[in-house]
Amino acid sequence: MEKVSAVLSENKKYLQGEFENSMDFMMRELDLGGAGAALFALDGLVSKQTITLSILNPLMEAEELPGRGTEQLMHIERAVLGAVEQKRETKMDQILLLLMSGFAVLIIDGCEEALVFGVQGFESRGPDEPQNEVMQRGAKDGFNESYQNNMAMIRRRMKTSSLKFEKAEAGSRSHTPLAICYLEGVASPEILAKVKERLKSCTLDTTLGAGYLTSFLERGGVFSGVGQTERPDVVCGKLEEGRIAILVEGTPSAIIVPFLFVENFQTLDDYLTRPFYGTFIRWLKYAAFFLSTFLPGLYVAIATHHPEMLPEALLLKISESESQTPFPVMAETLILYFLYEVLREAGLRAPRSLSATVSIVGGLVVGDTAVSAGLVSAPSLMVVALTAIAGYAVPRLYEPLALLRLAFLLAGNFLGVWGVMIGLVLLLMDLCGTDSFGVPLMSPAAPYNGRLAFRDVFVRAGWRRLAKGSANVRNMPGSREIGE
Amino acid sequence: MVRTKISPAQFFTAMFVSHILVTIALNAQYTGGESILDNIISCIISMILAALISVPIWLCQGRGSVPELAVGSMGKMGAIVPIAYWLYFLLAGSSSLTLFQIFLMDTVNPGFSAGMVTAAVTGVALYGALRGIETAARCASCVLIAMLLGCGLVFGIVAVRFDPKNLEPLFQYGYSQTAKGTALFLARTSLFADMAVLLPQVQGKKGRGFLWWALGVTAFVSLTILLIAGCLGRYAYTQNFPVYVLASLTEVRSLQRLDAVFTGVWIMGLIIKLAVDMYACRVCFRAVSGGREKKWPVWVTGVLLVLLAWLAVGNSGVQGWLLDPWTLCICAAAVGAGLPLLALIGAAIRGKGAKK
Repeated sequence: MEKVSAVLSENKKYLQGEFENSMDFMMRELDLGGAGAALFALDGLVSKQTITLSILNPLMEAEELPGRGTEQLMHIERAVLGAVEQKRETKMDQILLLLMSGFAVLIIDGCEEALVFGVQGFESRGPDEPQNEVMQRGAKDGFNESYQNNMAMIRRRMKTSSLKFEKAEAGSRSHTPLAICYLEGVASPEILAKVKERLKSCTLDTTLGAGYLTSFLERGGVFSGVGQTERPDVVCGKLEEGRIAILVEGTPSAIIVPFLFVENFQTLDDYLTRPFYGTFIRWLKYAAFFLSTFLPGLYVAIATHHPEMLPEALLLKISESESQTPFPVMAETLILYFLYEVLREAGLRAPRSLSATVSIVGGLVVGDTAVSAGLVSAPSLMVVALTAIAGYAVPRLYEPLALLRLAFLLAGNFLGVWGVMIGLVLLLMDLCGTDSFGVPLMSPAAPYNGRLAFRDVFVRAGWRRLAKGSANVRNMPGSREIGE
Repeated sequence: MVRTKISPAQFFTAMFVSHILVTIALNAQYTGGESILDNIISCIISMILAALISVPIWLCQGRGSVPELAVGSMGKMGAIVPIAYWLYFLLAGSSSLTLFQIFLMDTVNPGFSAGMVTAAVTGVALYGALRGIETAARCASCVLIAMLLGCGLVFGIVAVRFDPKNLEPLFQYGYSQTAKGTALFLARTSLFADMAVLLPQVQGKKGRGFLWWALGVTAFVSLTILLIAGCLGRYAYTQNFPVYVLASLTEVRSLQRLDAVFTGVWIMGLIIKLAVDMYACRVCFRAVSGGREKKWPVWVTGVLLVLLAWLAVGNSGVQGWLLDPWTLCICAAAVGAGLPLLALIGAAIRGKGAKK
């Protein structure tokens, strides 16, 4: 059945058939001045109170409903009902989709159109503080699972009509609603077109989160050209720089494109503190990134192949510790690293009441006992622990870092410091060769633009300087037409 | 393939990083004497000669790359030019790799296969060449920073050992070392071939880029030679790789020696040089195949480079030929001036015929 039938019983039969064995399907039959009618909705998705107050009460209290069929429907739409969001629909597949999105549908006998009302009433979590992007001075509200709420959070912060939310959907079965959000006149139309094109190329049946879509938006590389944030204030900042945000129903975070490598090191707190401190923190994060990536590899390389690089006192301490353990440096670092990752995963997945126990057992019991039993050396344990902690200074990069550490560990073991150097150049090649929607990932450092690099990359300039024009992503050096 | 454009700064940075390799692999055996300070003059002369040799390339570049111009003007006969460039890149690349592997085996003697390091270096360069000139050029600027930091650290630390008494008068043993040094500086650069093939992909003020490149290289080479002579004195002449020895002298509290940093800098420069050269090979094959883009020639070049380097390390005859400064210098002059002139003459003759 493609369209709404003028015979109510046929419509009822069709919808009942579609929702057969679905206990959440609700149908309320009505008599509207002699004409039969039915109101359909899905339990749990709609607010029964809103339906009663805005639809059922006005319909039943209406003294006279003139006309028949479409004429009657138009009168109800204009003069009887007080629902804010209502529209007419003729296609049955759209009606089904709207029903599953929390709309109520009124079909009147003799009318080939249905009236649909936005009466969504499902429960949603409040705007809690984001768990993965904790700020010292920033706002404490974060996105939740409802994309409409998330849109409102952005709109509240940007009161401008140039802020646009375009509707899209992903998943041929789940029909997950998306909102493509951008600032008209600021965002590049080419990038916007490319975002829509790539979203259309998503061939998934079901989309349960933003992470499902990122693989359709990015184009290879160790580091992703697609970012995510749980904070509405961060989204607003990115929109101001010409970026595009995608809000996905059911995901408490927004996708941001294009996303440059340097953005992994930027947090809102950098901009809320004084510039010198913001710059200091930025460099601290760069150092943490290098420490987290290269420390295990360099430690294994130097201890195994280039002990001459170390001062005598340090060399003696390391060799003394190593002489009491049964495994080579590489093996024990690898074992400790895997142990750490296992403990981290266990701590993350374990019930909250047990996660403290896991940390204590893992960190204190296993670590301390392993060293005192002579299974691993204290320097190796310290290196792995330092690496792990440094990794959390740039949480957005945790995933690539976890694998890069392993790669550099192996390179350092097999080819010494030179293996690490070769790996570093390979990583640089990958970084320099990756674009995010036509914008080089390493921009504005490589290709270099001194004005932009000394604005918000190597230093965090003061607001007086930042206020002089935004660093729009389409003005980044090396940016080119998409597809070139 | 869309022909991506890079800026003169990016191109000449890549060339600078590649050319620094000449300096760090400098020794008395190749420069032909014990008066290393004379090689500062060699470097200056080589820069002037480089400017003269590259004149035909500058004349060609308005009409596309030299290989394209040759194929366009001489038809099938013109294919000799891109093939000659490819052979030159093979020669220059394997020469650099051989020198590096000899250094690893003779001076460092690591606990793992030096051949494996050579293969890994070529593998990364191959990856860069496949990603394109933009990737290699952008990466070169990052490597330049790392290089300057590494060299700055080493130079800054060893500078305290500088003793002016170690400096000897210029030309005290005649001019032969200056001449051989000049040949060496010209021999160990693939700048001319890279310019002939890639200059049309550079957008901007190329002449200014060349000038800055020449000044930068001269300054860096002069400083390095001065430090070698001033810090090591006559000890430098007995060493195969004096810059390595210079780096080994560093003794600071936290780091005992910085020779691994020196080797790292060499590796990074070598990768950039090979990546740019292999990308240029790709452009040469495109000229031969009528604009069709193929990736297999780059793979073949990479494999041949490694095999040639391994062969040269094990065979003194091949090694002598690959590392001979005069042979390489003649080849560099041929690809820098000879082949572009040939392409220009071919284009001029064809132009005359068309007018008639």
